Amino acid sequence: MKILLFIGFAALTAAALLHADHRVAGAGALIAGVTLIRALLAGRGGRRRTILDVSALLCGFLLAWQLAAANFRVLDPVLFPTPEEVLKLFFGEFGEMFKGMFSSLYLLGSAYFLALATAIPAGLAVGGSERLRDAAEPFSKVLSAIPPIVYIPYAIALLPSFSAASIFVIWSGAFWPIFVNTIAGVVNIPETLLDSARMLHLKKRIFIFRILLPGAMPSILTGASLGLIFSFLLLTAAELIGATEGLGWYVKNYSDFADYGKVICGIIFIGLVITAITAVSRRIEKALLRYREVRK
Amino acid sequence: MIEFRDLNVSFQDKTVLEKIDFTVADGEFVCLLGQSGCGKSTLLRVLAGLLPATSGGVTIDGRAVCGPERACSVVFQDYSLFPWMTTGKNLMLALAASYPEKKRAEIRDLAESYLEMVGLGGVFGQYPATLSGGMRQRAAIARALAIPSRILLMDEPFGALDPVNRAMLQDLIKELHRDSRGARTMIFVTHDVDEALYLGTEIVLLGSSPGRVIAREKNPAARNLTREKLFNDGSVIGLQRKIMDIYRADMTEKLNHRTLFHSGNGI
Repeated sequence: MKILLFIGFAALTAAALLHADHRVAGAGALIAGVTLIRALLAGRGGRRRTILDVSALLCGFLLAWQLAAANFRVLDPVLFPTPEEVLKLFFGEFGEMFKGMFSSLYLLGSAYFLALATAIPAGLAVGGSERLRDAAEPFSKVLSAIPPIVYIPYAIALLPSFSAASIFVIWSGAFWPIFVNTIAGVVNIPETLLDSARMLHLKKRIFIFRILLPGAMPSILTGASLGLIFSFLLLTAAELIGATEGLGWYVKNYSDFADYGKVICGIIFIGLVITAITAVSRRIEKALLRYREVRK
Repeated sequence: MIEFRDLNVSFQDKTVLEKIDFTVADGEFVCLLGQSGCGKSTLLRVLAGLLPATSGGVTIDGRAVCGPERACSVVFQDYSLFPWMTTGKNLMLALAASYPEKKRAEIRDLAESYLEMVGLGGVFGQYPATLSGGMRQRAAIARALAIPSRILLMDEPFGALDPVNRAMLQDLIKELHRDSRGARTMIFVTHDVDEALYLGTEIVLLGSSPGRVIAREKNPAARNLTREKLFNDGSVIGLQRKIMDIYRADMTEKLNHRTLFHSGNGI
């Protein structure tokens, strides 16, 4: 099986290399092939294997793209520029995308932290009271299912600036998953644990910050990472409101002008930003749930 | 003195506790003995003020219990310690709430000394998840003792432990009771007859569906005798037999009142 794969890759890599117009890409394909084979031959488990597997999948994808777009020309060249062209474009456009990132992160960050700051206290309050929970449930069920883009006209009409309206749209997407999961987190704290806390006669503030909040934390973090994903999904929609820069705007703008090379660059850049943010949020999550890691 | 006065508890239509009526003198070690589901934990929760009575009630020194009771501290079978705090922080939280005037360093020293008292020196910075079941219950007992309450309530605290740890913790709790010289009343819920005989200076037997007191027995031998001597003591052996007889009679009576086989009409 491995030998067949090896021969296949060798043939494809040779095809890529022999194409006179795409020597650079061919060399890339060669590296891709080597990585893939190394991944296949990698031994035991662990982090090293995962890294090799991920890079092999990535290289395999690039190789397939290169062969389909450049060597065999089976893809529409307007919609699918070759990896080589995209790579050149990426470095050329990097400055503009980097600038756009700050504008996007401003919208995303403000909206996301606003969502955390409103949804967690609201969720703790509602989760802690059966009466509020029953009253809030129908609203949260209905409102969380409505895509926030439908609020755009109202946001523009009611809020003072375009960026406030954008922040509102992202906020309304991130709020519900955090809110609903905070409530679930409070409800799922074992009753005995709450009874133990009640017998300590803690002050209300201490009860909230030392018992309810950490007790609900695993669920809050699930909600927070869902909220983060929703924020990214809504970023493009939010940047349709009067934005002149930003990652979502960048992709949408060049898509309108049929400049698909830049669209792909934008997608790759967004992917890199999401990867970085997810890595940071994982770290935070791990630190907050440290006590779970120490189980024997 | 703790007084249960005609206490009834029902959930929806189901009566869980019926006409509970007895008193506990200060400094006693009372074991509430009964089968699973007989309402002994419910009785403990009503006494702690965690659950309201449907009618009747409990008083401690003549004062009615309403809401979490300051005179009581509780050790549950599970989930007593907060898993997100280290063992030391768990104690410090309880101590800081009880002694708001004390400084943080003092609270820390106190917490360490309570942990040492139950044989847990050196686990201050460890999370409960890293401790064994027995160690966790020791820490929970230390926290309950750290609260300045006169009554210690324990809800099957050793139910999930292995026999060796269980015996060691029974000795610990017995020693703590003896050392308090009557200053601390202990109410201990269990379904294990031997455990009740070893620990309780008084045993209250609860019958099931609905939960009610079916017998109260004094067990003075538990005060002084060691484990080996206790289970060879004539009075304790007699009491053990008596308790089993009472249970058997209660079960037989219940079975007689229940239709075991239906006639099959209408099939």
